[in-house]
Amino acid sequence: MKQKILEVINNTLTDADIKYADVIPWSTPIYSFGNISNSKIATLGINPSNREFEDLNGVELNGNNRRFHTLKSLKINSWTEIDSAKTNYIKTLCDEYFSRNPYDQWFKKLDYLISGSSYSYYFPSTEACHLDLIPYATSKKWSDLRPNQKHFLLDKSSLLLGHLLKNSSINYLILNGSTVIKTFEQISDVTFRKELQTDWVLNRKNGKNVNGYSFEGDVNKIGGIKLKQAIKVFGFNHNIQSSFGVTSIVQKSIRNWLSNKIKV
Amino acid sequence: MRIKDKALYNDLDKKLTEFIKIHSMPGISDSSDKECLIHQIIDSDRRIKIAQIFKSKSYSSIVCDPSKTTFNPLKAACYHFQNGDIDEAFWLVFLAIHYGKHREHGWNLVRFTYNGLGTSIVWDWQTISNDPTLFRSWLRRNHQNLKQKGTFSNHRKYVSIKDKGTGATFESYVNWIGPGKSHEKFIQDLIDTVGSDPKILFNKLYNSMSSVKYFGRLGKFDYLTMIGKLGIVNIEPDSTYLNESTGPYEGAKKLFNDTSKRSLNFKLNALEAHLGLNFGMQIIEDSICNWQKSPSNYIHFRG
Repeated sequence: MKQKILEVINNTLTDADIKYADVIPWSTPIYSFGNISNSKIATLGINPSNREFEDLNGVELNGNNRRFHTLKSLKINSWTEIDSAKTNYIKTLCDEYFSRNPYDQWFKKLDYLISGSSYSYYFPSTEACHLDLIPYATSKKWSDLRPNQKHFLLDKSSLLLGHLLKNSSINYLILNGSTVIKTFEQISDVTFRKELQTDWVLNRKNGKNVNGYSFEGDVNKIGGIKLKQAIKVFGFNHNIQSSFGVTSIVQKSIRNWLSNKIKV
Repeated sequence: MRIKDKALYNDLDKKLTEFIKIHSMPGISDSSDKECLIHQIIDSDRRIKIAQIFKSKSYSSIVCDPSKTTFNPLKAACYHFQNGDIDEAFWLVFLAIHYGKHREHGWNLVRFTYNGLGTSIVWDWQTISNDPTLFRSWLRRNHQNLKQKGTFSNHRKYVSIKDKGTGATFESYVNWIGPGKSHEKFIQDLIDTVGSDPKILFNKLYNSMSSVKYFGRLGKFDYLTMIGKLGIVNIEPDSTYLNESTGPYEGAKKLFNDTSKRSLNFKLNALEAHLGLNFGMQIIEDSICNWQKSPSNYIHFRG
């Protein structure tokens, strides 16, 4: 695993790539939120928020507020200076993310959805982690990146995700929202069974209700990397953090659906 | 003290002891002051949890009927949100925060405004947003009658019930939501612009809400935190907004023996991160404000 991180830092993005793709140049790639080696289940998002590295004013998080390493915290000027010891530091902060200063406003909602399975990101379980399709935080929101930037980042990152999952004990992937589902389909061999879930409909007084769909499938190959065994993939079209009007009743129903699907 | 509170008390005690090693807190160097602050934090945390319980419950439409004494604007907001009437949910939270819940008169001012003092007019979102000047005319004629029905809560005690106060506030609120009159579109447009980070969204909404007249720091802060706590939008305060405050600023000064707002903001942010409480910024804002009123002798305040 450590070797893989070192490879991704050294070989995936050059300085020119970082600039081209609007990646925050001083941020480390986040290969995992929480310890993937312990995990049986992983939630999947698009890419890390800039808030993992900086505060609302764009100032780098420091001291007790720091979540991940940066060039500054590693006391280096360029990623070419990364060595084995520094890779260990990066790995430690990724592994210990949920026991330090996790971004709870974001993760607690996802943790609730998987909590019916008894897995959790948090102590004492720590058998869940969060992965992103793209391990790099970008200075613009994902939706604001140009299509060629998105394609470029996805192309560079899918190999890492494939390797990570191949070398892990993860049995279940949980996809949060339709953008993640569509993007995951592009980089893997998954074929989803899509089903309307009447309990997940977001009602609107004006009659323009937002339907809720579940997605279910198996994945054997990601980014061209063949996994050792198939991983069960479950998803829902509502992005639990940013879809507007996802009531607690809908969230509870998604939680129940997942707990019925996941066998501990 | 309840067993659950005892566990939280011990946890807060331990965390404050750890925090003092990083940032000195002369205001709680005396054990009775520290004990008092912890009790205030527990009270504030409990108030947050009560609001969050509302969102997980299913209510019957009886809570929405302003002709009944069972009317409760926050429960009604949850009812409407769960049933897809997003606008009414927001509007009821706004009414609830504008008037507040008075210790004696409860939600009476919200209730009697909403039901037009028991006439055939219900000042729901659709009615008021169609023409807020109609409401202002009604208020000019009726503010004396309304005044007899209830009182603003402590947080809103300086607000005027007259048209030039409440009327102007309501009209500017409608204008803040904009010509589309749709809260859903208003929030979604903002999410599309700035993303869905709960703290960034809170900050942007807080700043843009300055266009709502006579709805100052506390009004904005209480309204937006309530929207977050009820799960209507995934937002959470990013700061105590100390710069514009009185009570919380006094509390922070006393706690850290420091007068610099910049420095105090930094220390409060660090404290919030260290305590790790849900809606931590509101808990800190509320608890230090109450604590400074009586730092050594615990008094139970009711919000």
